[in-house]
Amino acid sequence: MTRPPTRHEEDVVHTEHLADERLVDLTLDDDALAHEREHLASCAACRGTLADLTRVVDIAREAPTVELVTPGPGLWARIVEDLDGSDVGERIPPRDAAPASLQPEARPDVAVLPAPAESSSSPEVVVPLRREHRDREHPVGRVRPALTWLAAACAAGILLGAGGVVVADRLQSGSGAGIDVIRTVATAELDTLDTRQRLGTATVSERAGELNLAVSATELDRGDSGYVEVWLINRDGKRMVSVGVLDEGATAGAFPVSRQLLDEGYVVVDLSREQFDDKPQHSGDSIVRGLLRTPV
Amino acid sequence: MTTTSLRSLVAPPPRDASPIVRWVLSDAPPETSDAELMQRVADEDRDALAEVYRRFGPLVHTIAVRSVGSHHDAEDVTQQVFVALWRARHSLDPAAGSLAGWLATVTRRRCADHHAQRSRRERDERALSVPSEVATGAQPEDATERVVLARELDALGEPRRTIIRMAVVEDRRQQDIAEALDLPLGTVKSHIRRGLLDLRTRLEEVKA
Repeated sequence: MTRPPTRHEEDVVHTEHLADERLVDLTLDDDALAHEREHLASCAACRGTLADLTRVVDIAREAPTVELVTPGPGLWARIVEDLDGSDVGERIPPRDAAPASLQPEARPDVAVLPAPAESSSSPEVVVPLRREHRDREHPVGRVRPALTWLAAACAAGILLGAGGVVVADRLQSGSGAGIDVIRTVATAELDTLDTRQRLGTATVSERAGELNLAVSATELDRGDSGYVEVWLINRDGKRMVSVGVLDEGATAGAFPVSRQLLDEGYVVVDLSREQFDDKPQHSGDSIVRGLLRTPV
Repeated sequence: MTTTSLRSLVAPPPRDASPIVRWVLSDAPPETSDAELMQRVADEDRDALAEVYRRFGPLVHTIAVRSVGSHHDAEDVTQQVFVALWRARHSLDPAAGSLAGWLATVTRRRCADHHAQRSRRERDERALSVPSEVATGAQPEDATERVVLARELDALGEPRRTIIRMAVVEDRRQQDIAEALDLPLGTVKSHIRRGLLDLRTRLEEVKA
């Protein structure tokens, strides 16, 4: 009941403002009672609130068409750089060893995302262990080979679920065999969304410290004049990043990916039909999709 | 191979947990509130700014992408917005409005600046008879309010998120929702009331 009180005590029954809560009911479900209708007819304030709420409902109804797009992995480093450039003298020294400008260009994945809040209330259950591990023990900007990362992730059992153990075993058995070995980190079967028809596969492999996502499909209907874009979607179903675009006419392609992406939960491979329409976000028209899993 | 909503197919909830158990679990982690985070930024806490970026980067970036079109330009806008937040930190007041409202408003204005600059540039190019390939004539999309509400809905805890979705997006009646979720009608009603009034507040904070 946040509406202001009525001005005249004497005509309380018919001119009392409708409670906001009641106006919500009227917006969605309920028919107004006779005296409510009468009040609405004469009260611009209540009509205004009703109009506002109707607008909220109209806009919220379209919310499912909005896919939130996460900025690229290098952006936070650029923001930090910008702040450090403009804030000299009014700021405490940088908390991390290397300034953003010195971070290795080729490995934007290592340096980029901001550290999670240090707050002690941060929920242990949902924050991956590795995150703290990374930020405390590996200062931003230091390059760590993928093997270290994989081993650490697997030791913590958090890479892609329980299957991580398999990868850890492989790493041990393969240690000393030289780094230029291609290892399969995870695979996904790519199915159509409606009929679950298997149309292809995706494989994340690791070679010399770099991760690569290869996709291939038997057929891809890219529509009349469109192209096919490859995405990694987060487990949360809300965030996604574009990994690349398949060559014209191709049904396969390979793209470098950052291990941090996988680590942050971007483990759903998605191929979408896109048009040349100046809309960089996902078209919503997915051809195939699959969840990356560690090989059994 | 039809178009299918992304949301419906990504990350299905675990089958073994009952809805109630999931709600209890997802309600459990008491993370720092947005207002608290805003106060920490106002108090010069750079780690809090990083957390704001983590939490609201997609909100800002999505508004920008939809407005300016290219990812590259959108990232420029996103960068400007977070730099502006830090520069304005001393004037931040959690009592005066939410972070989401502040960020959405500034993003919308930066996008408008971007479009103004672009059309000035195009006009200048035309005046100099430099052929311009950019002039599409298309009206930039202002999805600010839609994106803000989408993000708000996503950020709601359960069971409010499910209830609001059913009431608003699926347009189901409150009684129907109560039965489907096996919750008391009063509970459903109060989630819907509180939820929609909060959404209205959020929308009001987004200024032109």
